[in-house]
Amino acid sequence: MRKTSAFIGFLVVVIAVFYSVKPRRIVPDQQVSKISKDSGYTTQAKRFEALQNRAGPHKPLGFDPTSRDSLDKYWEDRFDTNVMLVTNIFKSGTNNTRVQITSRRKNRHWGTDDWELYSKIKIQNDCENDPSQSQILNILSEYPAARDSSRLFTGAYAVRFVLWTIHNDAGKSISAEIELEEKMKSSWIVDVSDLEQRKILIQMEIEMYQEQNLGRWQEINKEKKELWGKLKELYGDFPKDLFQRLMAVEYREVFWP
Amino acid sequence: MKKLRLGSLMIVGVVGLVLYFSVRGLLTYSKNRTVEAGLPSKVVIQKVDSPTNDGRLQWRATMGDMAGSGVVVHCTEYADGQLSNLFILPDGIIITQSIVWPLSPGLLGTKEYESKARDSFESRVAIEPALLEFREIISECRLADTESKLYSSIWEIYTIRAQIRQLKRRFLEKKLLAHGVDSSQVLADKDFEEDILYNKSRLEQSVYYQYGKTRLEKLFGSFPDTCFDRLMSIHVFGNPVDLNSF
Repeated sequence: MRKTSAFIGFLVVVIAVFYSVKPRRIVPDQQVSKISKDSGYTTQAKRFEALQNRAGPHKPLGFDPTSRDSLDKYWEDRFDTNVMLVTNIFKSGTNNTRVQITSRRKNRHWGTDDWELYSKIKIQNDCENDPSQSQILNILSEYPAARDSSRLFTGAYAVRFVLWTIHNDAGKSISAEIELEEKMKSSWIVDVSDLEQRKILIQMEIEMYQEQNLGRWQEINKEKKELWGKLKELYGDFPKDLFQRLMAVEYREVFWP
Repeated sequence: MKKLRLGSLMIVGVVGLVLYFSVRGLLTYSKNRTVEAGLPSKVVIQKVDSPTNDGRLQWRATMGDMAGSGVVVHCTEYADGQLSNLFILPDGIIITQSIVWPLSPGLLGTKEYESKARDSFESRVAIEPALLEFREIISECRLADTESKLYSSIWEIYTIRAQIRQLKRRFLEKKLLAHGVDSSQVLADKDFEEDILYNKSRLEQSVYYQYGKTRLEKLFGSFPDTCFDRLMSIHVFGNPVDLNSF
């Protein structure tokens, strides 16, 4: 009898422990979209569930999906402590070469199940704010290796992030154009009485603006190239035409400066 | 002994309850994990009628996820390249916008256009490398008779992307409701809700995409959507020169 009681007591303790741990993984209702179904999205979500329910030891999550602060902290803590220096050489025209040395730190969460879940939560929220974002998942899913991958949302979130960065770069170029036009009307140019000198000044400003734009174009292409590399790493390969279509997805913020 | 049995029964009951709530919790968790997303907010374009004798083409556009929000555009394309957009905002506010596409449609498909576009390409490509990207994508799309229309199509695409850039600029400068509108109709962006301005921007963008694509279809006979989408991923930083007066 004592053995039975001890066994039942053990069961109670195990279940109690299990029960107290489980709620950390529950996604709250407000994070679940209630809007109508999208063709590919639900299938992808089911695949993701399969990933979540896979066999093997369960590792605790690196964040609490129910807490925004925890998600933010997970994002902020993503960088590896090791800093890698990268040298970029940009060539434009025939004689112009620009060397840029940047430091880069790897995302230490990249490729993990936690990052996949984090990406999924982020993409899910983005889709609620701007349903056109599901286009990213639809285009990614046209490539079978991505569609069947357990890292579908990791790729989708990486795409989303790069689109946001490119949007910022393009916005800076528009602001620079407005600034240039204002400069052309300013006393710094208008008050120069010598016509030749004024022409030189104007030409100098225009060239500087064009140079900045070339830099932005190179920066955008670098970001795209890196992302393409990441997608290839995630899915074995990724077709160029699909990648370019992904880069054409525009999101709400395009018109929310 | 009786007490022990009673105690065991209670423990079994507690275990049963805990199990019940655990399984229910797990089921709820599993259910919540299924994500559903909404329909993409794609612009829905509806042709109103076939081209009229004078070459006019009319169509209406609204957006998939906001059909009820009240911003609609009725667009009329004229044979001379002029576009007349009638935006209907909520509360029945109507804005008539008139836009002239920078390149005359009469030039489309001519050798003259191709030659002018090629010269312009050569003179601009050093400061607008996106033109090289356009050329690469068009060449990969295997369109009919690409060689003789390559530079004309690059210039067409450059024009569309530049129009989109200008639209974004107007959004930044809060001059969205003033562009192409005669002074008596001009409304201030600041007096409208952001949602209305956003929807108006997307619809205006659809006008440029649709009109630009129509021109490319005229040029090549047909133009695949996937190729068009790929081209729309390229950012430009300037405005194409007007080839009409080149």
